[in-house]
Amino acid sequence: MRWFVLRRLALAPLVLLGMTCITFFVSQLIPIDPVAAYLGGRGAAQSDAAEQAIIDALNARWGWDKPIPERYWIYLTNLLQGDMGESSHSARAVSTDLANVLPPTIELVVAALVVALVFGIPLGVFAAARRGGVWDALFKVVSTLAISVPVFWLAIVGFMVFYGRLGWAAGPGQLDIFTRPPPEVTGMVTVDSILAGRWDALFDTLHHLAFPALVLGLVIGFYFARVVRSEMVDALESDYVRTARGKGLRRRLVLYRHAFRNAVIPVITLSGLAFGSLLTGIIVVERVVGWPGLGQYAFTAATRLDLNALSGVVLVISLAYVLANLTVDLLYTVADPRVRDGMRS
Amino acid sequence: MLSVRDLDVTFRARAPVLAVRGVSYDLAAGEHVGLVGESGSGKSAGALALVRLLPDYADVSGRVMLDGADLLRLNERELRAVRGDQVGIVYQDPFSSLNPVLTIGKQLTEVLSKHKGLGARAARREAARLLETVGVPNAEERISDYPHQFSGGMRQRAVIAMAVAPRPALLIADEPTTALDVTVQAQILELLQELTSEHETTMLLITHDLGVVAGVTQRVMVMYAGRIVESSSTEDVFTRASHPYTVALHRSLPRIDVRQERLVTIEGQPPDPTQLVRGCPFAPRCPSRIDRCADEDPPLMTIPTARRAAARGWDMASIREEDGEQVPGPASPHLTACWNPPDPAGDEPGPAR
Repeated sequence: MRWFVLRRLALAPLVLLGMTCITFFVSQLIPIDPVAAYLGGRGAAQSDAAEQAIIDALNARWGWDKPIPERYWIYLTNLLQGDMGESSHSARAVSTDLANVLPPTIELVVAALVVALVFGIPLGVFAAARRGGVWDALFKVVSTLAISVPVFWLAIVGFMVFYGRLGWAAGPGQLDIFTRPPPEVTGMVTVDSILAGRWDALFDTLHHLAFPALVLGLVIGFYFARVVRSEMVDALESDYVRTARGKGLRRRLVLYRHAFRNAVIPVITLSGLAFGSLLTGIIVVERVVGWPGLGQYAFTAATRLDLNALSGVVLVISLAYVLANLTVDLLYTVADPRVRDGMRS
Repeated sequence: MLSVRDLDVTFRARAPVLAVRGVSYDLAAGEHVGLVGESGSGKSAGALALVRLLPDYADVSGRVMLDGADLLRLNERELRAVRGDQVGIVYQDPFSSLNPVLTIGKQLTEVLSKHKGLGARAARREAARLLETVGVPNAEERISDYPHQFSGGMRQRAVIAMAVAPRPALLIADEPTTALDVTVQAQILELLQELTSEHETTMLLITHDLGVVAGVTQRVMVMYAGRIVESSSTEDVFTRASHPYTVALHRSLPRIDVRQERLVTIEGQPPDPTQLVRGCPFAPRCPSRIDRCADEDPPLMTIPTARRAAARGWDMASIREEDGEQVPGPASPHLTACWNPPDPAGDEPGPAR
């Protein structure tokens, strides 16, 4: 067990190295002059000499005039020292930017996952227990709709209706402009509010968090529900569930102790995969509701050809993926005794 | 003790499958009865239907009286009180009938806490004792094992422990040895025999293997195409089989006392359960078929009645009035559903071969 975790953790740097390789070389394929992209509008200096001086300075710092393998080496050695370069659009170190945008995104992702699990899993069990019935048919229709609707459409229309028309959802950002933010500790406003005992700020930020978390959570939740339903249907038709019914156990025990324990195993794997769609989802949703997180940062970086920032984002997302998959594997060993034993030997 | 009347099981499908058709029988307390037939004869469906353990798409009708209550008419709650408590079941495949993610102990104790009202610690102690009884070594430790850590035979022992835990009045053993190694089969049968005799449990032993039935049961019912075609004492079934199907089953048993070039099989195929034709379902494969077999499905009757009916050309109605259509029970004579039962003793040959 411990060896398994260590082995997986030891593999993580290799995966990340591979990712830097891909992002770096792909970004080299894009036919843009990094100097021009970095300077952008600021490139128009007073004189050619001044401009050349700026270019030389940049080249000296980033080695943009050097051959590609050498540049990769420079990038890598900088990265190992925690230096991801400077973002051209924010003019700050990418690492500083990431440290700022990560906490709000973690808040959003966790909230969305909580929403998805809390309603998705019971819904799937409910539909499976009534398979073939009216509720099951209704579930199929609604979940198909929820999964096929694009997230950006749902986010935009939902925001228009619930914020614009009805005023139920809170506006853009994490807090109302009149709410004094809690002192920053973790960067996650919810946690910081609790730490500071600022209940007004907590309720305000939860209000702001609710809409994007519900949009993301709904889509993934219905996805979870469908997987849970199909796995539950299989489990309910299995011999061991027949054995459990043959023992005269209560319906709820048969459903949860016997069928669900088995059905949840594949669900764990699939939630690892769902993590990917969650990450693409945050880019759109954060953009729509103005959530100051990684998604918005990635969007801005991409539209402004901010290669340093983009590489940083990709690296963070890769790391998140590696961690998510490790978590999935660990949960697997908790849920399935057969896997647990396989790893011991 | 158990009395089944006109049990029908139909699996709803595009072409409905008539798995069990009008089966009736009685079991006395403490009796061990075998239900024999090839796969698809409806023996498992008929047995699981007793406690309504078939999938949703199975329609079950008839009456199943257990100690005065009709199991087919109980509500869910009342049925749960019967299942596992009064009726224990041992299933065919111990590799799929145990829950892979729960420990053996958990799966055992849940029966005890449900039906015996034992607390966690008492249930665990009782579970260990039960595992010990069914012959699982180191029961105290193995109680925390998961099914995949058990061998096939050990799993089936655990399943048996779950089935007998609340001392049921009736034990249904649905092909309990089919999935096991031959060497283990005998041990499992012996264990079932031992446990049921000890507490005078009634056992309905379902199998496709006449050999399994031989040492364990007092009485045998042979099923073919969803009907009971022969019922007699186990001894009679082996020495004086009266239905051509049973006779053919015997011939198909491999023998060690005679050198055989090849195994004997029963010619032809069992009938398609989705479309049953007129007459005796075994007629197309039957060596002692007579004309009326194609038109009338014979009821279960005593052998003399069957002979007389065939010889005198009685119609179905008069047979029922006379002494035909009997229900197999602890005291019933040798019954057969055949218009022309062969007589292996040779003292009274049937009218036509």
